[in-house]
Amino acid sequence: MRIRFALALMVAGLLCAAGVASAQDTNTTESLSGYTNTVPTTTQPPTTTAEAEPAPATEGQESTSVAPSVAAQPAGTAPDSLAFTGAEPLLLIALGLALAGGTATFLVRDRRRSQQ
Amino acid sequence: MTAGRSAAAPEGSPSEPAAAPPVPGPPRRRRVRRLVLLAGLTAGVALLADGLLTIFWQEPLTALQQSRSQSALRSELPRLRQALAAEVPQAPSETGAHRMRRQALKLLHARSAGAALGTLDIPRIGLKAVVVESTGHDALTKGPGHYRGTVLPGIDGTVGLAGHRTTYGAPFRHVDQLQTGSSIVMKMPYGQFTYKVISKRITSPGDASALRSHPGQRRLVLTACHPLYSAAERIVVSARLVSATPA
Repeated sequence: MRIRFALALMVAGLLCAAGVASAQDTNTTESLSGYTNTVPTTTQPPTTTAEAEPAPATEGQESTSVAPSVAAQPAGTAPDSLAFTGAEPLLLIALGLALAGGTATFLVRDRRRSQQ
Repeated sequence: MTAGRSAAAPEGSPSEPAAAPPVPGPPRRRRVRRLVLLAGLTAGVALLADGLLTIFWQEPLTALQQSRSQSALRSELPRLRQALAAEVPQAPSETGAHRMRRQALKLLHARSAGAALGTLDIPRIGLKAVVVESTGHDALTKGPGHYRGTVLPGIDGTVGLAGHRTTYGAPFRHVDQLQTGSSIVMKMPYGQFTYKVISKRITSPGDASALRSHPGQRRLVLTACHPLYSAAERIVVSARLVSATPA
């Protein structure tokens, strides 16, 4: 009975951990893929500006060359999702409880057997 | 006959090895099994302790890793300041704001993921951290990350930053405690920018509308996972620029 309980505890903990971990992976992939799509478009317009910048020596031209790039920058290059910055401590606790509970039950059973 | 012979034999004689007492203790296989179980128990208790520490304080192992990264990044900043000053020299009769904008643009496109950009100082939640480029996983292990596709302070638009709440030093752990009017200071290699919090809201991970820039607006947006021990939603804190001082 105890062994069944220990095994059930361990399996439940592992399933719970796997479930949470897979959910976490999905979130990460979504956000990262968003950035991967975003990065190339971001780099494009300002590089043109940076190259164009040294050419005009006068201040007036310089300021007009900077202004459009600033206005153009936000236009559709912002990320399409917010970064994943969380953690799942409950997952660690579930795993720890399952592992510690399961192994402790087996240890107690072994000790009793050896005493008999 | 047999009984008589055994009765006659003296006790403990070498001719009768079966009478010796058995050696106590588990066999080797049982000992290995016990060691494995003890290792499992230790690992389980360690995981449990780590989870509880993460809830009541922060995840200790990743905090140590982030602390080392922050020290290394902090030493990068003076060199970055010098390099930027050399690469973007001040034009004659150029205003401080204009030069900061040129330096910000230069920095925006020169830094790789995980490289130091400047420091973030939020007195209300006791945060002082070096901000890095990108919000990818590796970059965020070092400190708060700057969203690619958003601008840097000194440029018109929205500056977007993301940070961990429970792991890797948990820089944004108490970001929910920021209130309207709370100060946020970003020290960049080219100037210091002070923002005041104007709003705070909870949204879904796919809603990045807060990071969009609007012409004429200079905002800072902080994002983090929400609630504290989950990644189901995101908390978004918006602040507006109130002062910019060239370095």
